[in-house]
Amino acid sequence: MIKKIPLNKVKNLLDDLSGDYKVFAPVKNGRSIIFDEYRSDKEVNLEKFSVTSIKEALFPSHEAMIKYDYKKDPSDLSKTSLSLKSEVNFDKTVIFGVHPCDARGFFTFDKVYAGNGYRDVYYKTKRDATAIVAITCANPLATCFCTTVGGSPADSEGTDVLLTKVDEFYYAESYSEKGELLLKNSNFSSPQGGVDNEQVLKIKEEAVQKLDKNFSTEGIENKLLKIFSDSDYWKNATSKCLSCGICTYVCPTCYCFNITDEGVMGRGERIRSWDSCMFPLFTLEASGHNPRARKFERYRNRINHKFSYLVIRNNIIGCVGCGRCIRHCPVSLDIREVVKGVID
Amino acid sequence: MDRLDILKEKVKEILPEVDFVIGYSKGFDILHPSPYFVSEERQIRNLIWDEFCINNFANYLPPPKRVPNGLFKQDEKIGLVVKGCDSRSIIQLLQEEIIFRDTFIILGMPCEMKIDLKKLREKIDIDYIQSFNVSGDKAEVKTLLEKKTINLDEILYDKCLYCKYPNPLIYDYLIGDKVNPRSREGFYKDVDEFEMISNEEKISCWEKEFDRCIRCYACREACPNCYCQYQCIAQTRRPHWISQSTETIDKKFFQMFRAFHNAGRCTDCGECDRVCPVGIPISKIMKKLTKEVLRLFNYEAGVDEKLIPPLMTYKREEDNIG
Repeated sequence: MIKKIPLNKVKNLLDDLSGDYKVFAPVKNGRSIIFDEYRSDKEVNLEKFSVTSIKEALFPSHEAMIKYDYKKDPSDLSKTSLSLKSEVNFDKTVIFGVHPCDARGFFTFDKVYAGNGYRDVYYKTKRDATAIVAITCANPLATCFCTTVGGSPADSEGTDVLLTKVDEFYYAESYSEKGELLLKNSNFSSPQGGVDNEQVLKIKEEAVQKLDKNFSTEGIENKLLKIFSDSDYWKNATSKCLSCGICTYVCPTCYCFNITDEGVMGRGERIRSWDSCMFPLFTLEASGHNPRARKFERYRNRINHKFSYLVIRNNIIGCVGCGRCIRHCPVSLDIREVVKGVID
Repeated sequence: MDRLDILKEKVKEILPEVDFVIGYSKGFDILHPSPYFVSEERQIRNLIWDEFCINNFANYLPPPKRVPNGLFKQDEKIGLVVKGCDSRSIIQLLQEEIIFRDTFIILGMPCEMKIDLKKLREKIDIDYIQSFNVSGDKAEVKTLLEKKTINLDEILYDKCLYCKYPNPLIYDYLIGDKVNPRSREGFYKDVDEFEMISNEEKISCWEKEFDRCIRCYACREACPNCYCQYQCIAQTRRPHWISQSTETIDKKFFQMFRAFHNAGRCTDCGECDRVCPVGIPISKIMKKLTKEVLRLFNYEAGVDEKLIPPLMTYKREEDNIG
């Protein structure tokens, strides 16, 4: 289905949608654009690249897995009862205004949390109830490299609706039933005489052309295994890293979490919260031993995980080339350079 | 000879004495220079020095951060490029006896100014930057989409606008001529204004800011004074001081104790603020602390190595606390 919507009606659309769905969109928060739940008083910005990725919508930075409550029996204090409650969120959700790379990011999550092996009910339930509306990325940034890792700024894979901006309209193409349902909203109209299909194609093609391929991912999984023990390479490549968690937290495919019990007086929640393989604590064992105590080992793991282990095990590159880890890195560490160094 | 050429000469000269020298090189665009570790002479030509070279390399010095990270050897000697403000971090770390003077060589860079990318972003869409040229007190900025002339005073870091110590306070070699300091008058203006509003407004203001914190700990890792590593109580389970949730209150709590651990130690280098991916103005909190330390103890951190920081000592009767 193909429809169009004038730019100035997007807000109406979002207000409409937020009646039926939980809507996530890039909104202005302070000086930053972040992905957050849409409310009508929030300013949506579909032009700029958001700092955070959309993974927050399906993989929240923290979520309760179980609520627990220990109660003492007032008549016999030696007896304690425990009640456990687990809630899984079924809210119908729309993720609106993402870049195609972000939408692809969930493919990695799907393989790990909703694939043939383990099924993560918290993720899978939300994923099934979610529709994604992406926007053709007409002006990729210097840090973008989606085409290098199999994506495209006009990629429709993983999206239910793809919007392409043409003058004062978004031209909307649906790619699934969920998408068609969204396009039934009255703010969309038929494109006859409005937007020219060829113009859309041209914008998409031009966007693809704006990106250079940085390296070839052919055989990268084995090249990385080969260079694994070359500590000097990894030390030199990562010497400036500060071991903060920015790259992993802004990444649309990094899916690691930690589980902790947070409560007082026997009552609280078992939560899972984002964790980062860049932190030494990530692998610190109870004995005190840390298999990845040094930062080059941690960074090497991040690269290997994305470009080797996931490729070997799940046949997917765990990087969508959004470039956030480069853009937001405090020391401008460039993942492209590190991977290129492995290939050369 | 310009400052960069003198720097390159000096790096070449000291390279045989050290394992490597930390300087700046080009990053992914002209606005984002990247720390560069020079260990071979052929790398020296890649060094740069401009108004965007901002990282505080003192952060690479504390062994608790450095040695377990395994990059460097315990007994190595390194050289590093140090701006005026960064030199205060080094003095602070020396006072804390966490680093030792004979293990590094300081190449002191007198510094005119640095551009605050968060301020620049308000003026022009820097994602599509093409060129940036300074002439006089203005900058000509060109992006893919537009061209603008911007007054430098509107885009400098606050710490640079009021820079009292543009010249390193400690160094082995000074690179080029010294720079004139600027007036400190008005430096605490934003803090003074913030103090005037009601407590409720202050709380709600910070709640709004910390709402978007993603708990990446970049502020902590970029801070030369934060070297507790995984003993940082933000993450320890025993003691269980703080929840791992991303509720605003937990995130705010983390930043507040980080601030208090920095009382009398923070030199206002601003790295915590600069690295924050979601633009939380952390330096405002830190500035309030330095202001209070100045008022209570008449003390500025990292200015004189011989002084004992006020919170590292004890006085029976404090002059300004009663």
